[in-house]
Amino acid sequence: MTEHVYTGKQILITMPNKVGLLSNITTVIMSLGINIEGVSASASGEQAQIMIVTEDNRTAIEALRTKGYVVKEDDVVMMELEDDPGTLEDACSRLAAENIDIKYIYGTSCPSGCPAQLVINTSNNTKAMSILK
Amino acid sequence: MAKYVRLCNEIYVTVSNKIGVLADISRVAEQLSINIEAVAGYATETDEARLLVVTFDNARLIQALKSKGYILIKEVEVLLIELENKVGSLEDMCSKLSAEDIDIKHIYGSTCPAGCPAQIVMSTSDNKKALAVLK
Repeated sequence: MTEHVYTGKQILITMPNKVGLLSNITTVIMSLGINIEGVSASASGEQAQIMIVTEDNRTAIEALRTKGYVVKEDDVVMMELEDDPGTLEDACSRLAAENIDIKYIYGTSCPSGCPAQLVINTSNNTKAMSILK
Repeated sequence: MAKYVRLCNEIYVTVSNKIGVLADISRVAEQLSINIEAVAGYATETDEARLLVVTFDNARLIQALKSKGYILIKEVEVLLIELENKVGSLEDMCSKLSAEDIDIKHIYGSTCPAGCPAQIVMSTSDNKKALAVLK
């Protein structure tokens, strides 16, 4: 039920949490004309963690570093799932059956019912790729 | 550039982190034929897993999860936002919130692979005000 699976990279920024942080980061990325394809951010204590998938991470990372952001890049698996009950369960069960831990996951379905795009990072992305394909 | 904004509730589950937790929760949803519109999951520093899901039938899913032994479940009010799938639409939304001193508590979402509007789930320090600002 996985429509399409491929490897990708995401930008990871961890820094003190304050109002306007995501706005500042997205302003840098927008000014380069780069589209953001996935985003997840949360605060833990005083720290904010921001994860972003873009169509051009390299350029975005370079610009963010120039602005003083401490940026890492994580390998992720991008998967497109049919927008139906059970597709997430199918993907997660296959990973669990192979003892693959999902370190994080985020994504939303399309408002028009197209496949949902999900970003996942697991304990073994190479194995996850072959299982989900 | 937000095409559509509304308030809804997200199911927020805290469990001890282990392999198969999301598979188990999504199986409960599947058995009830409930579609998951959005998902985010991550492990905390204290080795708990936080699983956030948006469905259009939260009450039934929460009831089923509770009967399966999931105790730490709450519903959190969130904004469900459709953003144009183009450069700058997330920036536009974030800077409008920032200008009003609204803090984003958590946010997650992804674009549609076919280029439809992106769907974003977000919880802020003042959702009602955020709704008015983004409408």
